[in-house]
Amino acid sequence: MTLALRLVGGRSEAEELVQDSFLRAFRSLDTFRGDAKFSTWFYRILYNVCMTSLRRRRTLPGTDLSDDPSQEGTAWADAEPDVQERLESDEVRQILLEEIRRLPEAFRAALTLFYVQELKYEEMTFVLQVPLGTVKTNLSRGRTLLRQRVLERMNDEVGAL
Amino acid sequence: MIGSHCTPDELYALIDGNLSPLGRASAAAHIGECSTCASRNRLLMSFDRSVRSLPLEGTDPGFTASLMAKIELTLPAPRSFRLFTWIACQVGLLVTAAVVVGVFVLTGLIQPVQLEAGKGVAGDMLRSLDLIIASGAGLVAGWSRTLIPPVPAGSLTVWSGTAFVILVLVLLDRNFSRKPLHRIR
Repeated sequence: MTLALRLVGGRSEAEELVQDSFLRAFRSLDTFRGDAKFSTWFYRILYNVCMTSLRRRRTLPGTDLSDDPSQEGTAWADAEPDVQERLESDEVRQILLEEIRRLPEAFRAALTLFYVQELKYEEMTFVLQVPLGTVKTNLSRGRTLLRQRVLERMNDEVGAL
Repeated sequence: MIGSHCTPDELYALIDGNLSPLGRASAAAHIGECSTCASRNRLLMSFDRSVRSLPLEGTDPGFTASLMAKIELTLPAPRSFRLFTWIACQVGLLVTAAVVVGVFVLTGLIQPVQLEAGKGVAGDMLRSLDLIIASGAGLVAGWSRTLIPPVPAGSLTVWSGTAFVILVLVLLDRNFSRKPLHRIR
């Protein structure tokens, strides 16, 4: 459910897509060959269903993959010694959730599969159907972009006080 | 490393446990000496913990019921070919039984005379025949025991044909009185 919600954004749509995925998995059960874990196979179905739904929508927030993280800038926030403590506050968790939703979908999918579903790189290649290098790149860029944006917002909020 | 500092990917590889033992030892040694990398490593670890600790999304209470209803709707209804396949199997069994009985008749194990069910080899044959062609159908079994006529070799076909018709009727009745698959939970 978390994967669907993070990919498509809306709760009712996410539930609908999860149900569709269950139905597809149920119907295709005889095609499950055991090459991957059942959960990984199901995530692949869910990911495909979500991507199909997203492609139908043309006005997607955060689908532009050119939205690339810069290599320097606010990515470290070395000057903020209290950042590490603040990162674990409820306020920053809310920022994190918002910024994850704003990430390009390829980054969002990679981050969610890695952090929420706790898949290994090889399992992520199976779900996302992209090469290992792409998985690593998307995960790395997603992490960096998320870190940049969260730190920017944290700095903005500190500046606004 | 770029210059004298670790790259984010190197630090994440360390955090994720994707470095070789040698690489891990080397990175750990560098972080121990470089305050910048140590600070960055702590920052990334904090980020990692924060992202991992984000709340998971659950489903609404009606989710499962709704899903089950959808699955039930999409289950296929019993298909007619199953019935024909099943009848074909039964016919096969019946033909096999007829052949076996025929062989016994031709080899003289069953004499074309009045048979008394329940005694001797002929009785055993009849019981076996009953079991084969009318398992689960007491009607046929009872019928064959109580009304069995003298079995002249020439009437075997008629006898088998009658049993076959009764068997098909019984089996059809059983098949159609069965609960449809999509109603079974």
